[in-house]
Amino acid sequence: MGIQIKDVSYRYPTADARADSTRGGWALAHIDLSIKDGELLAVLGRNGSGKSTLCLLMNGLIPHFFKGKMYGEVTINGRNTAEVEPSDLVTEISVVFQNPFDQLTGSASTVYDEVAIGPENLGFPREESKARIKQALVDAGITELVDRDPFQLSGGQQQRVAIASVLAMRPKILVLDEPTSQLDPVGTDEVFEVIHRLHSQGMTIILAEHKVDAIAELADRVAVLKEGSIQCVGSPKEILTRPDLEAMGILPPRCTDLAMRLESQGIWQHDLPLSIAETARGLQEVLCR
Amino acid sequence: MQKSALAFVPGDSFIHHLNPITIVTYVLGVTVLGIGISQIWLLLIIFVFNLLLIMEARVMRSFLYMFIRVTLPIIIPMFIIDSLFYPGSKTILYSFGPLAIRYEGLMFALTVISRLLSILSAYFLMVLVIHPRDLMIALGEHGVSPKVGYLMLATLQLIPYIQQTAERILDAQRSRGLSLKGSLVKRIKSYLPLMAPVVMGSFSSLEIRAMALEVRGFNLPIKRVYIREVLDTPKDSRLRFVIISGAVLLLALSIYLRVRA
Repeated sequence: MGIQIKDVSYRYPTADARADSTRGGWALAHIDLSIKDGELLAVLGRNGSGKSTLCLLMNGLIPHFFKGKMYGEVTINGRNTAEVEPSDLVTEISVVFQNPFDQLTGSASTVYDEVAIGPENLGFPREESKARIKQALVDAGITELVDRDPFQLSGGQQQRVAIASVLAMRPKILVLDEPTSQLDPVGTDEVFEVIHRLHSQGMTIILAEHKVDAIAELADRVAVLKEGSIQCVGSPKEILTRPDLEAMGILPPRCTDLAMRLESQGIWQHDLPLSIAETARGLQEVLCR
Repeated sequence: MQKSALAFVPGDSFIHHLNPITIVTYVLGVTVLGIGISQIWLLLIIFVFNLLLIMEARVMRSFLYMFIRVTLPIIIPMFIIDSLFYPGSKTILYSFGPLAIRYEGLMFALTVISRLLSILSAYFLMVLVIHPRDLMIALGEHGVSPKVGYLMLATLQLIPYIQQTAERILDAQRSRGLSLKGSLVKRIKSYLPLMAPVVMGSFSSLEIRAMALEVRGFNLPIKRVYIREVLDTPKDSRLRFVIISGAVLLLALSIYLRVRA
């Protein structure tokens, strides 16, 4: 069933309609989007394009946590998010935010206790909670950190703790709002590795990101947001090789950009590549010609 | 790396294995006695008993560290000021130059200090042997809202990190020429502009933390089942009965002695 977003517009309660004449204060306008089970949808867009708002909308934090003005309808596996509290949706959908530090609850002094909070709140029997925690730690690749103080970890490790904390509730859908924006390259790779593993296990994932190179290899579909509206949705190949991508505020992956430049000089004669492997193959042919 | 604000010292003593509510009952009992009893010798007996418990829990080193940092700066000036300048004191015990230690002031100082020693040592024992999370769980098991427990625990854990943020903002402002030298008024004025980023930053973090809690089912009206088992044994119940009875008896004894005197 997945997520269905039907003609949704949203304005924050603090938004000033006069301040932004082009958008009238609307953070999102007329969003139509459908995400299938098991799909990894990447959401691209410049800062302020509405990516975070879309993430908050998907699990009902909008309109329950942030009031504001909302039109349209969001359904998660058939349940209308406006009619169900976000906490009632935790086994359906969960969200990981940008700043790993701020997501730590502050009530746990070990990683194990931090990951345990979700299952404890859901009231599972102890043995079931323990099994869920163990699996979440494995899935997030942090089994070696169980006894560490979550506040003393690196950003990448903290973000994986945040992912494990929501995985322990076994949601069917995971929304990640720029999970690597505050991480160094090593931390970023660690988090993308976890996302790739979860996706290959069949989890539905919505990933708001700036790092197009990683998106090109991870995503099944890409949606581009600009000023609160969806500009285009399609496969990574369709979207990231579009000539008007830069006009939407997105730079193409570096290898695609290289191929585009070579193409403009008549050197590259294949489909535009998205991955380094594809580019390497294409370049090999160019050099051997 | 920032040191945690938790004072808890892990251990395997019988006190560590008591239910946190039993220890809290003891601390509340001592607090009532510390306020209600006026005989110095009785207060000192309670203090010595607390020291024995601290030794039994094998947390004496941490206790002394807290004691020296927190208690001594209070009791030393109190002892000097009260014994020298307590109003209405007449009986001079020892004089040097224009100053004199007087009996009434000395007795007042010793009474207040004995009260502080008995009460504070019990509180130090509590924070050293109870992990705040165990206390939160135990309070939850006794019907206290998890929100109260969370608030208490998160406040304790997050204080050092808010301090860390404040220091980072302070360093950033210093690198832009902010001077924190000069008179007290000038320094207070310099610190004021730092408040806005610290407070606003804390609010922003709070919002995300609230959402993170929400998506982990914090507000679900379901009875929580904690992984960590905090046992409440019949021994704990009996001990709580003994603590309450003992406190009542000691208080009665103190009142009796006071009336008789």
